[in-house]
Amino acid sequence: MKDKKEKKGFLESFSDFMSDPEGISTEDLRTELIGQGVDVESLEKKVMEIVRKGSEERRLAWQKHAREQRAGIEEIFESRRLAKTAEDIRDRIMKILEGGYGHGALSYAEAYFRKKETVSERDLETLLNDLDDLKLLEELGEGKE
Amino acid sequence: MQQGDILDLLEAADWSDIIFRLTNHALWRTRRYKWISGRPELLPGGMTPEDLALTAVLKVWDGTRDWNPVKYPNLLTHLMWIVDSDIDHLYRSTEHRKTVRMPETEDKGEIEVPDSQAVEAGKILSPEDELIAKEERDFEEKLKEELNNSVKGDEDLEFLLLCLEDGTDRPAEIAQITGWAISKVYNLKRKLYRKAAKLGNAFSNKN
Repeated sequence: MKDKKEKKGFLESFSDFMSDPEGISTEDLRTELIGQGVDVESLEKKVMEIVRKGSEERRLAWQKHAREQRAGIEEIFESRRLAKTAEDIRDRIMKILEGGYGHGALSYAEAYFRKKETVSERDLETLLNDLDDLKLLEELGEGKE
Repeated sequence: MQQGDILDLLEAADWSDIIFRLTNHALWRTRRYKWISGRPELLPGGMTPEDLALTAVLKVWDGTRDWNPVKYPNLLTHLMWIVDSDIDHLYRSTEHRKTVRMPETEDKGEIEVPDSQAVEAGKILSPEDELIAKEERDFEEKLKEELNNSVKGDEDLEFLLLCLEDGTDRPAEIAQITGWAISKVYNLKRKLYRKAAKLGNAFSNKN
């Protein structure tokens, strides 16, 4: 039998024993609750409503969270793509300077650079767009990606 | 575990079964305390044991009491903890305690006022706590007597109550001490439910 130090009172033990639903079937519990005056149908209805609403709200919140995460990942991809584009721009400029895109493109590029003291990647991109607009890259059939 | 996985587990749970088990748990847990309404089914703030069970479910769904299936795999156990904590909170609530009646005395001049510091330190019970403790002891004695009377002649139930009186309340432990099969302990519990239901007012602790 129990050590006095850890012994629970009768009420506590009785309540713990009766409140533990272990070993009792759902049907028996249902009958037991009805016997105690509980409206089991209303109880079931209410819990299902909580579950329905809760599920809906949590799913929406979770989807929102997933969308935000995806947007974050896409942003990272986007920044990498731009970096790749910048690298691409540099390659294409090198080809122009090496005469790979023909005389027209080289002349335009030289004129463009003469006007500028420093040239940023943004400037190089503008230059390529200009060359595209002037059809200097397209005409040679090498400017298209 | 991802939120989506937890949501899948919550959606897959058998909520009808859970709410019956949880309400039964709340009903019997509230009977452990003496409530100012005198009725364990009428708790402070107009709450009922059914409300406590439903609130626990709501708290898990709205994230107030998040469920971590990795740490606590049993959802029902997690919900029962919430119910227990809420019952404890209600019992200690100002609304409950402020309405506890003070003992009546004819000679008010002779009331012994306890040292407030000792009361605060928990060495001495305040008159209010002393009254609550006495009422709880009386209620426990009354209930024990009623239960013992109701099972008279049924040796198994009498022995089961003796186990509970001794502080042994886990079915596996009872089975071990008595040498009964665990299924017999569960059958006796069902029998005790029926007996207790017939007692009705014995669980109403209004003086």
